Amino acid sequence: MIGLGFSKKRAVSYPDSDVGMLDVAANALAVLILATMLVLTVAAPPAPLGEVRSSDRPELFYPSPLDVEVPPQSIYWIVTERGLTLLDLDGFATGLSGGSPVARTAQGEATLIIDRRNYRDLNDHRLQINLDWTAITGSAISLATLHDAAIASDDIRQRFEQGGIVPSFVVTAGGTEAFSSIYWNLRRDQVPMRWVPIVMQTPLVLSRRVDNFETRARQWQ
Amino acid sequence: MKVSRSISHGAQYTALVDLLCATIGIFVIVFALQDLEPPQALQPAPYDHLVICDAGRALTYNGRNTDQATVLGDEDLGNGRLMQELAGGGRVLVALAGDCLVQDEGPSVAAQLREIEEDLSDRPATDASPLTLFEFSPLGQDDNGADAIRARFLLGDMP
Repeated sequence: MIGLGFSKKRAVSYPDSDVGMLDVAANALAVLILATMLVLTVAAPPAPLGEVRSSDRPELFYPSPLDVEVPPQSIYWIVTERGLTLLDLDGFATGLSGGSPVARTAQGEATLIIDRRNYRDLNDHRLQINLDWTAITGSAISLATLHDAAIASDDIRQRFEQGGIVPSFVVTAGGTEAFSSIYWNLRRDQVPMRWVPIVMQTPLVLSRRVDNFETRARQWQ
Repeated sequence: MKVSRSISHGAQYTALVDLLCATIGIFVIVFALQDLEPPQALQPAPYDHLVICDAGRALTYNGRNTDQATVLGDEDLGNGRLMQELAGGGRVLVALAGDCLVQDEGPSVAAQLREIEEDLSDRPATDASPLTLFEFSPLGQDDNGADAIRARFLLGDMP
């Protein structure tokens, strides 16, 4: 519009003094708009704390190297009244990798059931672990004192900060009291975690179903 | 004659120049009002409700506005009394002792509280009902005991 106006003005040869002010004003406005766009582009929005840690964000690279060993993103701790025990899922996975539906380790026996869904892009699976509670409590890291709990919390925090490994706790009724120190330590350190109760002598079931993605979708938003 | 023609031609642009100057003025004022503010770490909202299930399945409820704890019975989990207290929305901290994780004739207190969580969290996408966020925590002793957690809740000194 402004350009057309200038052309028209020049075509009928009006004096330049008539459009001088208009020219200055239009140029000043253009500079201001450019400055605004520059500020909006350069200024970084405030990053929310706890979502993505800038120091932990991996650099983009290409081509991506092949990881010989993929670290786990989550580990499972069994909490009993005797303390913390790390669940050796790798041991169960090794036993299941040959195609056998059952794997046995010193910590118990795991049974894997896979239900293939032809009409969906994901399969259901269910891993039922019958834990050997004697072995679990026998190899537990003691949480008898606050100092013990602080050491265990620091270990879990370092796993998260260095390896991005998030803990899941399976807590028995007897281990609840000792677990409370770890829980609040990790909350203070902003380490994401989850915990579920379990009754001793009952199997631990890890499963994935379509329901996980559909019925809880609203709660995850 | 010449002067009047020049003025009349210049007057054709008066409205446009006025508009441009007004726009520039708006930009200048907006720029002048800007203040450099460093990004701040987001803080979680304080808890609005506190439900404690202590040893022996002793249930108490604390609201944010009252210092007085409300003692609840097992039946209050099913008859809607606790749900009515929590229906206003907000963050709910649930502290559970070991006894509350164990089934005793009926479902455990933890399981019943999970049902209340599902009922209050289930809302249609278009509804503007208040959001209720539950957090389940284990109950310990001393610094992590019921009295200490209640005192920190009332002071607003929670992580």
